[in-house]
Amino acid sequence: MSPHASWSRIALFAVALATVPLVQAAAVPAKAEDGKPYIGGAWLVEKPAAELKTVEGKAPPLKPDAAAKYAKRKQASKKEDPVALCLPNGVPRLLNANKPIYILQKPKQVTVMYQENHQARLLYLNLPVPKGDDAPDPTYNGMSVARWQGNTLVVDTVGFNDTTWLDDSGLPHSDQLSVVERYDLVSPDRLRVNVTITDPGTFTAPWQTQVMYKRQPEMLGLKEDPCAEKLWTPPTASGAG
Amino acid sequence: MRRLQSVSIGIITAVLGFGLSAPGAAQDGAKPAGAAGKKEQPASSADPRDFDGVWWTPGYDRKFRPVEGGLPPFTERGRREWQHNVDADKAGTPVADAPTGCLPHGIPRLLASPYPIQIITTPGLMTWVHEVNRNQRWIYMDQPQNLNLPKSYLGHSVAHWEGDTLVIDTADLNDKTRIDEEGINHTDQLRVVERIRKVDGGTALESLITITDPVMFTKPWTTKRIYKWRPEVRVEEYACEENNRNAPENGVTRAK
Repeated sequence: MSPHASWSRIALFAVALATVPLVQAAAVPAKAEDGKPYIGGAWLVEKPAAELKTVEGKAPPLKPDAAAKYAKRKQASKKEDPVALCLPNGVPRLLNANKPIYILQKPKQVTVMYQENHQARLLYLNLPVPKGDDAPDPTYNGMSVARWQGNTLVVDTVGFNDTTWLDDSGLPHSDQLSVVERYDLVSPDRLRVNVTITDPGTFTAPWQTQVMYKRQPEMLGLKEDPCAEKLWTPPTASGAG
Repeated sequence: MRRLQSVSIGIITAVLGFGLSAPGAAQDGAKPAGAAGKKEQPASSADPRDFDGVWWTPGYDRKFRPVEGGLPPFTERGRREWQHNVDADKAGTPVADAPTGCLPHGIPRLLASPYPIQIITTPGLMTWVHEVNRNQRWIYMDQPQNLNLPKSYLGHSVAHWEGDTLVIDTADLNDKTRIDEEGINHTDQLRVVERIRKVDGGTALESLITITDPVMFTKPWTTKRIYKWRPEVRVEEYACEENNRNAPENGVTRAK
């Protein structure tokens, strides 16, 4: 599809919307440009989980040391929460943030933009999971590669540091964490994410949890979320001179 | 890691108050992001209106100056506030502004950042994913500007094409950021228009940035930035809040 053609169509749509005060999204297409299910646009988590459970509704299979760490963390001050310091949430905690996300779907890269503390995850399609010498430096949100498996977007993320919490309650993990997310459009307006968490440093076995998103069809883009204002108030121009 | 090298250079320049003589050196020596970073990517699209991909300024200049040279056309207040900030830099007590506290850089200051930018076009939108402090820039295509939105760090950007030049109009900016790192201030009456086109056979973007703020400047003025096509580069995670070495203390940026 030529970009010129698509822009002229959007321009026509914009004229139709000229009297609408807010920026509004175009109609949701049935398929993405490469024929894959269209998961692009704005979404909001349906029921943010503060404390992760397995899909069977059970507590995650923590090893004894990790269980002790978790119990201690639950007693600790909220100030120790990395998210309270405006650090990146980590995965899968970021999926449960109660703010909209916006998915930019392209054939070679799916980019998930999170309103929560202006985070982004760049999911590179059809590349191998980096290992050995290619292993990425550890980061909060890790490094992600993705592939379409039928109508499911499968996202592999590795290269996590051990700073983040897996959920708001402080569920711990080690730097051996790897996460597989499976994104399925269960209806045009609902996106299911099945999450498999593997971390031999923390859990006795891999386990799965689930996040559901609901489409926000009116939203185009995301609002600014300047988290660091909670930590510091910058001076204004008039205050400087 | 690229961010630490670049941040330390930023601190040195901020504290000593001189321009960076060898811009880009630290970033260019950076390790690509894992296996994916080594993978070849296709060249920039031949379509002059397709900006999708990673772009990176080839040099860092912490000052914005008019393309015709000299200082911006300051009002008396604009010049006084700029001089105050420059003097504070020279005294080793640079005045803190929003990005030193991990807040968004503001427009146009963000446009000078020495970090990569990935541009992603989707229906109705052009999204700029900036590495520096995870700035997210949403640009709404072919929409009217709305001057009544709440003020924000990055404001409200709308864009349209004039031939093969993308014209971005940004308004609704708050007054917590600066025009540039050196210390040109602005008020919330700031409005910024960027005129961006591909140059050098599609290997670079040229952006002419016109700045209007009747409180700080006697007339609009235009500055310029170039961004090089960098297909081998990936935007990496940036965690400003981790060990922020130029965190503000009592309104002053302290290098640690």
